[in-house]
Amino acid sequence: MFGNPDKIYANGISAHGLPLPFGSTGHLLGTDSIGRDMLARLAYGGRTTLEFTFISNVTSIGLGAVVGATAGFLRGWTEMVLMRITEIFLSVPTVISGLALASVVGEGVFGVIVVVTALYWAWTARVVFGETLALRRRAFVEAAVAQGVPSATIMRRHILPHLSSLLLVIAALNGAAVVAIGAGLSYLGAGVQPPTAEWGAMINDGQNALQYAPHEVIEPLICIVLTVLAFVLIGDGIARRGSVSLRRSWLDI
Amino acid sequence: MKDTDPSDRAAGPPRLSRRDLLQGAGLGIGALYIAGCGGTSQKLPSQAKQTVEVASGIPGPPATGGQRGGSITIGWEQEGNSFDPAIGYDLVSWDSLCNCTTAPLMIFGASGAGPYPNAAAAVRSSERDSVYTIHLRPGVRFQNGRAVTAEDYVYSWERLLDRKLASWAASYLYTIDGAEAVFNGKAKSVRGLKVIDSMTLRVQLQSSDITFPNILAQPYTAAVPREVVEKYGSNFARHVVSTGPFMLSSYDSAGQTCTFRRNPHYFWKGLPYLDSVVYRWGSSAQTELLQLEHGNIDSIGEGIGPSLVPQVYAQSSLRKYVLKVALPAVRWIGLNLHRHPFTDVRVRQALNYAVDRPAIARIGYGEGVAWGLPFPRTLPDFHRVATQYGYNPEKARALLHAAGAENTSFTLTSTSDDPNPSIAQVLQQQFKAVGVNMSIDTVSDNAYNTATEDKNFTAAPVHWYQVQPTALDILSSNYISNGSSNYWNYSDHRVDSLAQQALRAPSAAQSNAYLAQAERLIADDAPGIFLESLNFIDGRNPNLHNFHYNVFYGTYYDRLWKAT
Repeated sequence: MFGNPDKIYANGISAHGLPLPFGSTGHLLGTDSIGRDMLARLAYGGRTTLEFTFISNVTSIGLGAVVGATAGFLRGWTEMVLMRITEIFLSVPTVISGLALASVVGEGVFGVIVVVTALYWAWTARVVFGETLALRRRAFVEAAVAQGVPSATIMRRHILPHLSSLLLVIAALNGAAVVAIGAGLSYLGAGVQPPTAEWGAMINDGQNALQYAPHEVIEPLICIVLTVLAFVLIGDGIARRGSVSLRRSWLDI
Repeated sequence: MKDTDPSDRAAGPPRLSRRDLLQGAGLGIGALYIAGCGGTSQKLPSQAKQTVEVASGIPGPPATGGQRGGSITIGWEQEGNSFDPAIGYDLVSWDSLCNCTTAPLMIFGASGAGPYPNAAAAVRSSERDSVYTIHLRPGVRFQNGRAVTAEDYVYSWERLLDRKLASWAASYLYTIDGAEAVFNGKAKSVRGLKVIDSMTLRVQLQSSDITFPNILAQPYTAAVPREVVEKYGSNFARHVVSTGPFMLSSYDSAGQTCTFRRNPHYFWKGLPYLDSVVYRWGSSAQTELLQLEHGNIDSIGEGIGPSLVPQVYAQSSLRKYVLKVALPAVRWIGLNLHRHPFTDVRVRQALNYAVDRPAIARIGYGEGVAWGLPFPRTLPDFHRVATQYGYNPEKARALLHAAGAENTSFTLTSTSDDPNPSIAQVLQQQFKAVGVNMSIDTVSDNAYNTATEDKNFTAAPVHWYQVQPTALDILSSNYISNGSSNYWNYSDHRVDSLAQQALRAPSAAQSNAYLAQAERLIADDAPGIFLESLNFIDGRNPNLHNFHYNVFYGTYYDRLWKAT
């Protein structure tokens, strides 16, 4: 529908070597510095972004939920070990450690997913831990424990279902953070690699042209801002419909 | 390969470092410009009160209108590594050495012609070009006022060979008989250097070397005074004294600036026009352009980066600041011949045919000219016998098919230095069109340098800026079997032999004939994907008059004057 995002158009650069500006014939949102269509790259960049956001959300929230719920339910030394590990991960500065980790696990979409999972599972674990502690004291859980129901069954049938609305909100806010950190990693050259279209990488490609072709930076930037905003609003909407309240520090990337 | 040199003027990228540049240059230095050039000079009338003299063959002072006084400011992105002639190799240091503090025995013309006598009155060769007699120019003084003697050159060159100093340029003097023994600690003095009298030095080479006069035109062979070196020791770089038109008068590392003041003892009478040259560093390329536009600086030392050139051409108010100079420099993709798929010459040739070079040049905004051969496009008196690679995707597919490599893939190890990312992405699409998948691994400059030096890469972008007017410069470093920058594992005994013959040739024409044959062999073997011959896009204040840009040294500051 949007064309090939990697195609370099022979007429995609002006006679002076300049990218075509916003509103050019045949290239509605202009072209980038090597003559590729911005609209096609933004569209495919969105797909890349949503792809790693979705997968990273599943992996980071899944891991965080398991760790948080286990620590909150089992308590004792399990809680001590898991939550100390969680706190270590929470204390690590996100961008710097993300860059370091990316250099180890490799670049590309897979690298972004691994980095985001490693950096964000702890936030989920912390929140889920607190919620599980509260659930642990609820009468229906204590009754199940008293009747000798196995721990795994209690987790599966009584704890996790009650965490679902919380996890939805976490997923939305986590999504906003993942979009931003993924774009940041790509902008810094540690994320998605060329020629894959990705908004952060597009900003990187266009930053030297900011003076004479600002659309190369502004257009992907708008996409990132709108997508982050969308995730935040979704999270807020879900939280308002339920009883979940989360601090915005989630977005402290 | 690393990057920053007077070479890396514009790219920068993976820019090769000045050291690499010069390392390459030294070995071969071909120069085909006869030793034995007479010590001529030209006297030119000037509106200035003094008569003005310069070496013949290089751009002189203005016949009329030259104004004395004033200062110019050069903007740089980074601080130079050292102003010691034996140590400095990066772009900033190179500019200061070539155009401010030192005055070598010989000097190149703006377009690379020469070299011509400079601090030497004459350099004569005999015995099949293996003995050189250097007559010093009378009246040449150090910036502290002391007259320069032949002993000073012996001291300066033996200092260069002191292993403890760890000068990158030491190996350039190995051509002198006994020099390598001094470097290796087997001798205390160079057997091949003999002081005839205070104004005459005889140099015995190991064997004839047509490039020796070029070595004499390099700043690291300029004289430095023993007493000043011994006084300041390792801090000599901050108190450098030599024979150039300007002397270092202040250096403020924290304030990111230094000043070179006019040398009253400069031997070219009447020069320099300017009272001082100021270096200011620490600004980004974009900021430098703004500073130039608003008159805060007079010249951008590194030139205008490729990605900023469109901005300059797009704004009519900026066009007057641009000066494009063709350099003896090339850009190519170096291939590791020990790694799949480049063990097969057909694959290497195929990728050369797969490249649409004008498309690459188009995104370089004038920094490069489409060029499908290994040696730079602009070489004096060089008659090519090799044929350039053109864009022929059908032939590329046929060669890949013959090699059984239709769907081959490889990784390009690159840096994010401008314009590498753009070029890499265009190449990626062009190779894809013939069925070859190239992935791009963007790494830091240090990681790039390590990968190439360790030959731990498959393909990598390279650029090479010659500092000698002969293809021996690039050939002896990159394409002979033991070349210091031969990261490609390229080895062809015929090329090695031709390089030796070119080095020992009795004339420039004969040397170039050997080099032309070598170029054809290298082009056929395709140890690289040849892309562009490079230009330097200079950014300078149009109020600078008598502005001449030397393709090896940079701007001649000594004859420059600024309209007030």
